[in-house]
Amino acid sequence: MVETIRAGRAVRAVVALVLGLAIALSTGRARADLKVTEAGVVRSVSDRDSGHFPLYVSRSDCTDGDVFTFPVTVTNFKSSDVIEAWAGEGSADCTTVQNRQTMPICKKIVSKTGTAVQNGVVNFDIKSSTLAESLDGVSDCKDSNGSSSARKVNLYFLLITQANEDVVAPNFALWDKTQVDLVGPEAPTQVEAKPAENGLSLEWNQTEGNDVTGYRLYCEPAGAAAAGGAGGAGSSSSTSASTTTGAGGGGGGAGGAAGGAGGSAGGAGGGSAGSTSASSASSAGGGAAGGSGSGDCTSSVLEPGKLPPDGVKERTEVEKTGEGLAGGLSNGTRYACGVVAIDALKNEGPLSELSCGVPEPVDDFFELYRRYGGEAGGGFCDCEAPGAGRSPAGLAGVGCLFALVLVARRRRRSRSGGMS
Amino acid sequence: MKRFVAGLVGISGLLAAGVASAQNPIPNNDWRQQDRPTRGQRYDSPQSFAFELRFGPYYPEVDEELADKPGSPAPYKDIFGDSAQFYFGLEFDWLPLRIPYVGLLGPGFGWGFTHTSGSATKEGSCQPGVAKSCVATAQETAFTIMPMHLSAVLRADELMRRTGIPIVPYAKLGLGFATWSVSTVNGVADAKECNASGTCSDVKGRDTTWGIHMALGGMLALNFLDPHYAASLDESTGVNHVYFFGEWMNAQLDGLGSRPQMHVGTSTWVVGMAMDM
Repeated sequence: MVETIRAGRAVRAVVALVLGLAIALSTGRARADLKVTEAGVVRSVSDRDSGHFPLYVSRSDCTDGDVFTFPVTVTNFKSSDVIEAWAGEGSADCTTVQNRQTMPICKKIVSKTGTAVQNGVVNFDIKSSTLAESLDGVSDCKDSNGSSSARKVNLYFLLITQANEDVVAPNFALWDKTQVDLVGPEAPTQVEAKPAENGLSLEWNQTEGNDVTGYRLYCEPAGAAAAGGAGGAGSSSSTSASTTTGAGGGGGGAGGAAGGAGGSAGGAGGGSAGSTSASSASSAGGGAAGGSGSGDCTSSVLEPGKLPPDGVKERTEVEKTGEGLAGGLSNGTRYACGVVAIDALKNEGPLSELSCGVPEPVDDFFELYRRYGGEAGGGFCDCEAPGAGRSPAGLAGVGCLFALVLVARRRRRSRSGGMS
Repeated sequence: MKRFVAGLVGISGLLAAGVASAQNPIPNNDWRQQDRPTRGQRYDSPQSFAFELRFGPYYPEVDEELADKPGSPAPYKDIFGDSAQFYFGLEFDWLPLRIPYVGLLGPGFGWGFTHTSGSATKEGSCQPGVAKSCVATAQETAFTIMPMHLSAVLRADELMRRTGIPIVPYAKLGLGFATWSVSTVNGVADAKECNASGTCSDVKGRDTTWGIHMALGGMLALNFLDPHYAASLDESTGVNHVYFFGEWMNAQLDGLGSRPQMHVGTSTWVVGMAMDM
C-alpha cells in the first residue's frame, strides 16, 4: 500500500516536471523579442541638428553614402531563427505575409541568420540610399514621384521563426522615425542680377509653399555665346584723398545681341570716370561694364530647370527672402546667376532661369567721402587730445566740467567739516 | 534700474490716470480735504537725478566739412539723400547742486544712436557739384553714428517749485563726441590711402569725432494730470516728476580744430520724456 502511494507520488512528480519544462519552454519561446534602442540610432554622414529632421533622409544623405546603424536588442534567439529588416511606405504593415509576399508593398532590406546573431545587442547597418530606394519610384537617389513632400517609411525588424507566417508581437520591432525627401522645392522666378562690387545682387520672386526654408545663389562665368560683354574698367580704383583720375578707358564690351547690354566704348584715359549706364554713352574714362540681361544669358555649367551640378559651390545661402548678394566674383567678368530653393533637409530644387550681370567697383559712402577729400577714418580709438588748445569752445566745455567737480568737492568738505 | 522701471511705469500711469481723471464726472471728489497733502509735502523726497528718453530727426553735417572743396561735394546727400535720420537717445544726469533761486546743476551723460542706409554708387560716377550724376548700384552702404556727450546740466526748476507753473527750462553745455562707422555687405567699409612714396594702406571707415555739445530746452511736468498719483509715485519710487520735453540740440562735432574729423554732429530738435528722482 505504501509502495503504491510512493509510486503514485513519483509519477505525479515526473508529470509535474515534464509539464513544468513544457511551460517553461513555451513561455521562453513567447518572450523572444526585438527592440530598437531609439536613442542609439546613429548615422555615419548626416549631421543635421534637431531643427532639421536629423533622422530623415535627404538627397545628399542618399548620395553621400550615409549609413544608419540600428542597435537591436535580441532575446531568446535560436540559431534557426532569422532576423529581417523590411521597409514599407506610409502605414504599411510589414509583419503580415500578405504585405511581404502575397501582395508585397514592403521590401526586404537586410537579413541576418543565426550565425550572425546572438542574444544581446545586434547592430544593423542600413544605408540611407537603401531606405530611400525601398520606396516606389526611387532609384539612384532620384524620386520620379516628383513631389517635394517627404515620404514616410516604416522600418520593421522581424524575428522570422516560421516562413510564410505573420510575425506577431513581440517578435518584431517597428522604427517609424524617418521620412525620405529627395526632391527640393520648385525654382523661384523672375531672377534679376544687379551689379555690386565683386558680386551680384540678386532679386527673385519667392517659391510658393511651406517647404521652402531658404535659397542658394549660384553664379558661374557666362557662356561664350552670351552677349553683352563686359566693358573695360577704365577708372582707377584709387580712393586716395585727392586723386581719382582714370587710368585710361577700357575697351567697350561687345554689344549684346539681345538682352544683355554691351559695355559702352571706353574713352580716353585721364579723365574722371563717368559713364552713366551700360546702355548710354559715357564720358571720358572707363568704359561702362556690360549690363544685365537674361534673354541670351547662358552658362556652360548652370542649366535652368536642372539641379546644380555636383562640385559647383553655391556663392551664398540666404534665409527665406527675395534677395541676396552673390559674393566672391571678379569685377569686370560677366556671370550667369541662378537661384535654387532649399527645404528643411537642405534639398535643392531646380535652378531658376539665369540672369547675367557684371560685378563692378562701387563707391560706398566712406569711399565717396574720401574720394571727395574727406580725411577722417581709421578706427574708434582716436586718442588725440580733443582740441589741443586750438578751440576755446572745447576748453570751455572741459572747464565747465572741471569747475563742477571742484564745487562738488568743496561742498562735500564743508558738509563733513560741519558735522565734525 | 528699479527706479528707471518704476519711472517708466510712472509715466504711463500718469498719462492713464490723467485720462481717467478727465473722464471722471465728479471732480475733486476727495471729501477728506484735511487729508490732502500740501504742495510742499508732495515734493519732499530727495531729488538728485534725472533721466531722459529722447527722439528726433538727425541730419549729420558731413557735407559741410567738404563745403570748401571744389564743387562743394556732398557725399552724404549723394548716398543717403536729403531726408534726416531717426535719432533716439538716453541721458542720465546727476544733479547734486541746488543753486538758490535757479535750480539744479550737475553733470550729465547722454548716448544716442542713429543709422541710415543707401545705395552705393558706381565707382567714379559721382561728380562734385553735378546734380544727379551718381549712378546707384544694388549694393547697400550704411552709416551709423552714436553721438554722446558729457555736459554740465542746469535744470531751472525754481519757477515750478515756487509758483507751481509746471515748466522747467534747462540748458546743457559740455564735451560732445561720437563714434561713427560706415558698413557694407562685407562689414566695415574701407578705402585705400596712399602716401607720397606710393605706399598704400586700407583705412577703416570708422572713427571718433569730438566737439561741443549744447542744448536748450523746456520740460513740462505732467504731475498736474494727477497730483495724487504723482505724490504716491514719489512716495513709493522716489520719482518726483515726470516730464514731456522739447529741446534744441546742437552737437558741434567737428573735431575741435584737431586733425580732420568727419563732421557727424547736427543741430536739431528733439522731444522726449524725462523724470527726476
